[in-house]
Amino acid sequence: MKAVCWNGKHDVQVMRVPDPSIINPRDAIIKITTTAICGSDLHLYDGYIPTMEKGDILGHEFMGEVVEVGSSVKNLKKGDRVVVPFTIACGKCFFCKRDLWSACDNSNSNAATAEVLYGFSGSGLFGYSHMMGGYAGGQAEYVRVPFADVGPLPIPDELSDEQVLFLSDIFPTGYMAAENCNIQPGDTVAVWGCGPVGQFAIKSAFLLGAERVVAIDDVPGRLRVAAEESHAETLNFNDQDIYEKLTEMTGGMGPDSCIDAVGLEAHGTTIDAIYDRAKTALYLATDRSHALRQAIHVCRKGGTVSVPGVYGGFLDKFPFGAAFSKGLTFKMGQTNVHKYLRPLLKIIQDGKIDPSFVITHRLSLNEAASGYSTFKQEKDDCIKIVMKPELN
Amino acid sequence: MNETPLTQESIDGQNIESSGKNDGLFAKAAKHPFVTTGAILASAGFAYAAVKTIQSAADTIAREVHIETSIAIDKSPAELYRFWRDFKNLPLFMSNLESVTESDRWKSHWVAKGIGAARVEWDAEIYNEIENELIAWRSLENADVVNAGSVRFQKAPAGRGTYVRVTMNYNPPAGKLGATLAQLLGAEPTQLIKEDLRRLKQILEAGEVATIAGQSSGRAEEAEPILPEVKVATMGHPEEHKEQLSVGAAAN
Repeated sequence: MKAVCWNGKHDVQVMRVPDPSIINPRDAIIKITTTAICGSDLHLYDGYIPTMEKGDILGHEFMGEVVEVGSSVKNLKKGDRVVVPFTIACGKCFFCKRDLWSACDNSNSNAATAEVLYGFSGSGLFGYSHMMGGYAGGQAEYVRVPFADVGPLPIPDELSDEQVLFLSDIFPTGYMAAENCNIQPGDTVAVWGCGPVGQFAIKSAFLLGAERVVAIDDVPGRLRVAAEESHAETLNFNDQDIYEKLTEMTGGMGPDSCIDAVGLEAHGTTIDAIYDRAKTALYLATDRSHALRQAIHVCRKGGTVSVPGVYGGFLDKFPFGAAFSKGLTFKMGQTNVHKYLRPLLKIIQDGKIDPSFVITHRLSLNEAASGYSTFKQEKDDCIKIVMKPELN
Repeated sequence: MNETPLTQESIDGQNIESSGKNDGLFAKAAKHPFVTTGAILASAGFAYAAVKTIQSAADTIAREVHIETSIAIDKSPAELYRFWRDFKNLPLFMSNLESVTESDRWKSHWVAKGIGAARVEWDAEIYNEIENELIAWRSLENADVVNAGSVRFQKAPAGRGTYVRVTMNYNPPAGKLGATLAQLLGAEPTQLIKEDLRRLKQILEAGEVATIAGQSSGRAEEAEPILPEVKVATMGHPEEHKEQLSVGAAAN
């Protein structure tokens, strides 16, 4: 089959590799119909996530058709159309039973490595480094899906791939980010980053009752989509001081909740952002956290900072004093995708959100390398790239 | 890894006839802290165990290397006890163990991997047992590696299943030098046992061991790059796009 392989920093290549096969009884093999490049794939592309190996198959947002099931998979059959959560979860452990699917105890095949770095290991992830299990991803023609009896969500025929694909990650991720804000009537939610997760966080915040949502980015096309698709108010951080503007907009209080949908590769124009770039370039820190610092600084007293953006290692100059003195609540983590699959499918079926609005580029699998480069450079107003193996 | 506080007396003090029954003496012994030192060995890597010729005949008490670790498993103590007590299950999760054959209720023969095709073997006996709570065993005379171990199943607080606590003692063939050598080889015994217990948890909770062994990748021998095609990054519908791609597709 064809698969998009990571060969090093800024080097992805489509390769012909062996087809996957059933390894464990709870596995299924899915023939991919649509897959996507995630913003977090760019962290891999940029070499920020350790324990990637040359030849790893990328991709954790995908859907397709079941072509084979293991002996323990009774709820799926050949021909079923399914969306697959990017988090791999056993469904049986302490954490899965408590809806903390991304903390599954039994799905990371390489948990010891994650334990060294983080104390404990989260769930296995598709195509997201060996520390997270080293599972081959879904930017390919076929993929092996472990624990297929609890993960994949069957999709009704009347919904198109593009309407449901993002149930695999970014829609639940944006939704969980908004849900974590515990939004109350009258609340203002500020969202840093208008990439795909930011766009879904904005839509979800309105859905959950936010009075106002302020979208912050410096890519005009992304701000435009936030304004046009979700009626968010928008701020370009190159044009204005975000703290001044947000406090002014909220009568001096600051936003009730702040969502960092940027993560470890934040860029900005202030002095701390430049300092971060210098330090990460010198490997003195691993993560840049400009957006997160700004969110903490401007969040109102007693407010919530919600972090769907991915962080991998250590932060420098983390303003913990501000967080403490204001009594902030922090909510974060990989998305518990399984928890949100059915409720969000219902939202799509009810016509409340059509997730396909974020798609700006449709490519074949063969064009993956140019897709990564376009997404990375935010060229061509790129927000979301989907790839269809059938276009090859 | 610490040196065990065990002494000859403390081991002997717990010595119970291998044909013994689950009587008051067992229960009494089980409460003694030293009883949780015992035998397993299987997993401890034991690459160096193949060097069995340097074993001293004087080493009959396992006390040089001491390992303790625990894991929470979402099953009842009784379920865990039953699974563990059926010794033929042990190689399912102990990566370095090839087989355990029970010859009677108390005695068993253990075969573990050594270096290359070498095997490490020993006979062991269960010297203490409390149903649903404790199994303790130790190697008998002429073991390739003198070892002793115990596993204790302790009911955890609500919703947390059972704490499985494993204690192992063994004498590396070349004394502490052997353990050091093993560490240099990457076979850190405590970590190996932790990994074994993780596999046990996965088998009992999830029904299978998480693995990527045998999966596809660009590292496969037969993997080959597909030459890049005409780069078209466009917006639009898949149908329009298909036409634009036809040049690239033909080139492939």
